[in-house]
Formats: sequence, structure tokens, C-alpha cells
Amino acid sequence: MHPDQRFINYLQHNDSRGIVEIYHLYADKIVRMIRHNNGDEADAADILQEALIDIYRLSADGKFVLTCPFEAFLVTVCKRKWFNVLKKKSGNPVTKSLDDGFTFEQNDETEANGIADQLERENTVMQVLETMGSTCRDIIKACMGKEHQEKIAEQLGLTYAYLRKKKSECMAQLGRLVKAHPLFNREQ
Amino acid sequence: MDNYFEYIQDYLDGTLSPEEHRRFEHELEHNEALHSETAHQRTLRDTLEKQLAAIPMIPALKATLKKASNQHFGNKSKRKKITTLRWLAPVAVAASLLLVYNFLGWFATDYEALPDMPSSVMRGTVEENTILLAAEAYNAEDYTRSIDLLQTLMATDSATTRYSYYLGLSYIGKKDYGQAAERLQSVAEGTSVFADDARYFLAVALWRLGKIEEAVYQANRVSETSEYHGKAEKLRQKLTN
Repeated sequence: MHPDQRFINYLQHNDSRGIVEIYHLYADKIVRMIRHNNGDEADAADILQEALIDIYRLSADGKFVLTCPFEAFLVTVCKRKWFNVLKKKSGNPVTKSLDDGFTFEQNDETEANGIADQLERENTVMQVLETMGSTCRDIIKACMGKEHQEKIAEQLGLTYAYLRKKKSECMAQLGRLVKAHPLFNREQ
Repeated sequence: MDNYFEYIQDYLDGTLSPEEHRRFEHELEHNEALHSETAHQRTLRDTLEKQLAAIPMIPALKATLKKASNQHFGNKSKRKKITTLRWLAPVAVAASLLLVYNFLGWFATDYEALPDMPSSVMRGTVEENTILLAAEAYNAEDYTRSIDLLQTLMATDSATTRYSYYLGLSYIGKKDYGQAAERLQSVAEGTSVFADDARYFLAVALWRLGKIEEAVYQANRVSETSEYHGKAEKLRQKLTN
């Protein structure tokens, strides 16, 4: 575990002093990187907030172990998010390398990229879920909690047998949709 | 393996009998495709469980981040302002055109457009055939027949919300709003996956019956996560303006 794990803990526990420290240490670096790539301070503020929420979601169950400096991870996540914003802005292409201004150890960079990949995969699963029909979406969301499925079936107004069958169909569909996503496709 | 995915889900849920569990694990060892799919499903579940459990905490975290962000950056919303200005002119033109088109009735919302009834088979043989026939009739807009068939199904199983819901929708399709409201009321009051959608169609039926206040009430109850939220909001505005 990297000593910077404390920054992950700050997010997990919504520790306001710790979060102020994150901004104090890293916000200006993110601003510099985004300014260097056709953005401004307001863009950086938005990207940083989105990145920190994503990092919280990735680590929310308390099992996530940081294996590189927090800065390397945060910069990688922000860099990817900003790159996606630039890609969507037609007529505002990336003109400089997004690596400008940062040098990390090769190992740290590799680790940071690996964790950022995991974060993107998890975000993709949630995005794909939201594209599914409301019945599947509701069933999957209801079944992922701690409650017993017989109770869930009752709450949803379904029979237990129907819920189980429908859940397995919906999970199979989700699995297919996720596998078909370019992010997962390119890894196969 | 029959019911491939059901076995995977039951295995991951821990609901297989000891014998089924043993057979499944044996199959896992020898069947690479099953092994790979089970691993994929396990990863999906881990992700979903974690990410969904994280959601309730996000508003509080966002508030803390916003505070820290404002403290660090000041209250800057430059991007939003620029974006607004940049898009204001074309949006204004588009809005004017929409007003004209809407006045002409070109983009009038079809409040009574009904969703399809899924025809996937879930039950035993006799009931299964009736469901299929009901779905076929409903999807072909033969609402007289779908009403008959759905009533037959409800005579033997009145607890299945799905039947009540599509029966209510069939009455909407038949423009029998009184019966539609009666059928949809119980679904709208329930907690099933159809409840939100039923509230929207109940609002439509009540509107057609001239019960405007009740229609507005039901339209207001359609949650933001429902695919009918936008239409419900439009209907509410239409009825309150």
C-alpha cells in the first residue's frame, strides 16, 4: 500500500480537511495541465471534481489499495477526462501532448494507468446499465443490494421465479453489452 | 448446459443445492467458456454492488468538494457562462422555430403512445400461450382481444402486476379511460417496476376524463428515473398553464 492511501481515505470518509489538502496540493497542477491543452481554470475545477468523485466510487467499498503516488493517479484520471472533453469538441483538437509538465517514475505511470483503466471499465459498466430498458435496470439495481431476493420480488410485484429468470436474462444482456463496448472489445 | 445464465447467477448468489454446486464447479473446471463467462459475471456484480452502494454518499461528497473547490478557485463558472452565450443565439432561433412548429402542431407530443408488451415466455404452458397471444394482440393494437386475454390471465392470477399494467394500457389504447384509470390506479400505488410508468398513463387517463387536478398529481409522482418523466412533466405543464 502506498503512503498516499490517506488521500483515498479522505474521499471515502468525506473528510473536509483532507479534501482541502488534496485541492491545496494538486489543484494548481491540474489547472496547469488543462491550461496547457486549450482549457482554463473553470474547466480544471470541473475535471478535478469529476475525477475525485470517480476515485471515490472506485474505492467506496474500502478494498481499493493505491499502489502508486496519488498525484500520478489523479493526474492520469484528469488527463484522460480532459482528453475525452477535447475529443468531443470538434474544431478544438488536442494540439500538445497531454503529458506536458509531469514526469513520473515509469513504474508509477504504469500503475496509475492500470488503475485508471479499471476506473474507466467500472464507469463503462454503469453507463451501459443506464442504457438498458427500465425493467432490467430496476431489477439489476434492486438485486445488487443486501436484501433477500424473495423480498425484492415482493417489493417489485413479481414472483420469485420470474425475478430470478428475468435477473439472469438481464445480467446476460448486460454482460453482452459490456463485452461489445469498444473499451472492453479492444482488450480482447 | 441448459439455463446457462440462470446457473451462473444461482452459483454466484449461492442458491444452488450442494449437489448442483458440486456439478457446476466440476463443469467450471472443464468448460473454458463457462469459466470465462462466470468470471465476467462475477466482475460485473462486484462492480455493480460497489458502485450502487456508493451512490447515496455522492451528494454529501459533492458538497464537500464544491466547498473546497470554491475555497481554492473562487466561484468560477466561466465555462458555463461562455457556453451559454455561445449557444444562446442559435438556441433562441431554434426555440422560436419550435414555437412556430408547435403552434402548427408538427411536434405535438403523443401522450398516448404505448410501449410494447414484451412477449418473452416466463411461465407454464397454458398461461404461457395466453401471455404470448395477449402480447401479440396488444402489440398489433388489437386491444379488444388483449383485454380479453389479460382478463383471462388475471382471473387465475390477479397478483401479477404486469397483467394489470398492460390491461390498463390496453384500455388506454381503446380510449376507455375510465377502465384504464381503474386498472392503473393499483399499479401506480404499488412498488413494482411498472409503478412509475403506470402513474404517467394514469395521469393521461385522468386528464382525458377531465380530472385535471388528479392528473397533475399523478404526473408529479413520476420519478426522474422513469423514461416517462419528460412526458409527465410536459403533461403537467400543459395542464397547469
